[in-house]
Amino acid sequence: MKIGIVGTGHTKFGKSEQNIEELMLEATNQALLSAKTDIEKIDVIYVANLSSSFSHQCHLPAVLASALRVNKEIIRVESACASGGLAIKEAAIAIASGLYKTALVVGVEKMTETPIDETTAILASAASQTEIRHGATFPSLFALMAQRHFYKYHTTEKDLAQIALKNHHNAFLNPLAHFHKEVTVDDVLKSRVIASPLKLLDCSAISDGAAAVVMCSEETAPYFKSEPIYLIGIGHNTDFIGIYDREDLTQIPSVKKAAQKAYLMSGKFPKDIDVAELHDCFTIAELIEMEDLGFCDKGKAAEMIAKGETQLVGKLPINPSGGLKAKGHPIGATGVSQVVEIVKQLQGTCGKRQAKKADIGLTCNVGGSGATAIVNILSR
Amino acid sequence: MIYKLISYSEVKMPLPPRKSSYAIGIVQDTKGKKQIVQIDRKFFGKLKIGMSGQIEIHQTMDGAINVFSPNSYKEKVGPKVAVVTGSSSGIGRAIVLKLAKDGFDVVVNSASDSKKGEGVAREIKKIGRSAIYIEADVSDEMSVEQMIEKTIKKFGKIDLLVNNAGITRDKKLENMSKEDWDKVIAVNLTGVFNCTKSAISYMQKEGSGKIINIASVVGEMGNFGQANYSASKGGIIALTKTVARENAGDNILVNAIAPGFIKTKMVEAIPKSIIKKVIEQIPMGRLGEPEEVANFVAFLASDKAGYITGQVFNINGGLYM
Repeated sequence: MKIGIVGTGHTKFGKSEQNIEELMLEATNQALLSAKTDIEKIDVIYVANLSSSFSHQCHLPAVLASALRVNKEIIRVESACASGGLAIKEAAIAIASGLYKTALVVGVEKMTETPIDETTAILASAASQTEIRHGATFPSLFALMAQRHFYKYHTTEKDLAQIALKNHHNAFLNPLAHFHKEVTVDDVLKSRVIASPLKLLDCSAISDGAAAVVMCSEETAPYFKSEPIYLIGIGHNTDFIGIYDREDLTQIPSVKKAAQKAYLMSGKFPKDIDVAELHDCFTIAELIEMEDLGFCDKGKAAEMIAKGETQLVGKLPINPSGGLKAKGHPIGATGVSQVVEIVKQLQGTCGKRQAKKADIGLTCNVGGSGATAIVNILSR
Repeated sequence: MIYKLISYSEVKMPLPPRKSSYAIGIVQDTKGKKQIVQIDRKFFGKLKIGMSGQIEIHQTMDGAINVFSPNSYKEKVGPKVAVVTGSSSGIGRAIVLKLAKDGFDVVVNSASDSKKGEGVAREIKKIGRSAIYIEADVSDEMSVEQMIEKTIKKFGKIDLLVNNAGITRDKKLENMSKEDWDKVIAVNLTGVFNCTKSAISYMQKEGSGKIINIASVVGEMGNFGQANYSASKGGIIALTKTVARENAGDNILVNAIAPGFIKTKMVEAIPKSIIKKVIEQIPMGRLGEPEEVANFVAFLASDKAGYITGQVFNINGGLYM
């Protein structure tokens, strides 16, 4: 299977004046423009969005139809923070089925108008009911993974701080990122504790934003006047919702399984990946995913980070966009935004944050505390 | 069944509508089954992966939850520690003596008058409790911080702060100098702010504490010649309610006591003819004893008063109802 990606759109992430409809429309129009096509040529549309509680709007496909002035097949996809990645997978399957030749995927979330207490509660609703009853928040669930990783592999808070530092540096070079502020290891360590050992600067931002891609069948790709990038491997798995059900807290089994499938489908191996966008909703998530994706042995991610291998100038740049950490994390948009970044990296159009070598790229989008994972492998 | 802690996190930003922090953890039983648990914040800083403990089921508004308590942890049952400002004489002295009798170790304080303060500390030691005298002017932020630091160094914690220090500079408003106003506000009201601010961070770390502010009936009804004093005491009442609201989630209970006219040097300084007129207005027909205020402080300081915060209690023989 080979699916072409022929257009990308991406709003600025952060606190936006635009409403959810305007955000979707901006990303969609950009994607159509970059694909040098129009909405009439799109057979099916997927909208990725986490929660209708943020914008009090649950019929997003119809909202988008009104905004685009179309009457088409539009489907909303939800799988917590992996909604965007899953929408891309569904679009790929739709195209691979032969029923559709082209698809548009738009991911969106409008979060910043909701008070922080409400936001925490909405986000927590993606955890298991048992966890919520015990007062678990998302930072605390990832903190449980971090604490266990510290215990088992002697990873430290400083190792995690290095991830925050790198991703803030990359975001500094990304005009569409939420934060344009470099941070030091000390800044991270001194920021207030949210759920020990995770501190404020270990956590991703609450942002508004949308991202979109135009996808098409391999045969259709040459008809577009833009340079296509190909989706050559997809893996998707959904595991138990509660992390207490997980055999080993230092691993995310859905990521491991999804990665195996994506590698198998694409015929690629971890060593073939030149650049990757990982789901760093918390710094520990990036570290665990590095291991579960096979970029290094279990427990060795901190070494890889210390050697600078994941920096922009390193052997395998991770989160050149700034990641969820510093580019921002408008939840429904995130999985799509990751694909947009890798497409641009493979096209060589990322300017100051361009990876030196970018022939094969990978995205890893995770939902909840790791219950859902989607791994995509893209190639020029 | 014995449970082993697999991982834990101190949740400093709790899940709404919960207001105070707690830890969550994952434990494993002897058969290898894992469960999520909540852990009381009194175990903050003491949790370690691998420690074993017990689970109790607690009923909450959301349903039953597992609450884990580690076995190796022995709860500190040592004496409670109280800091009482302005306690070398008068109501303050009665309060420290009563608290010592009830088992508190105490810090005796005054702005000067160290001889008397040392004497009170010696009296307390005779009761069999530990006491130190610390000279500190509550209106001076630095000296308050030093007092609280010394307390922590000596006793390791503060369970109770009684803001009692107060002065008067009585004059009718038109004769009251700015200096008279500033001085009374600085000691009586800013002093409470300074001591509370300095001590509360330690209480927040412990996840419990009590603050009792000694206001006055004058703060509720006003009094001729006491513009500064009545404003400071009325201010204490408002401050009490705010600090109570801000810290209830951390299990810090903050209350005020508004004594009427109590037999102390401060009241003795009022001309006899005026005191006579005051007593005529008191339904009980007499002045209060310092011990009658101290007894109520001791009640609020005790475990019996676990659900009282943000209140003002009048001890005035019925003078103001």
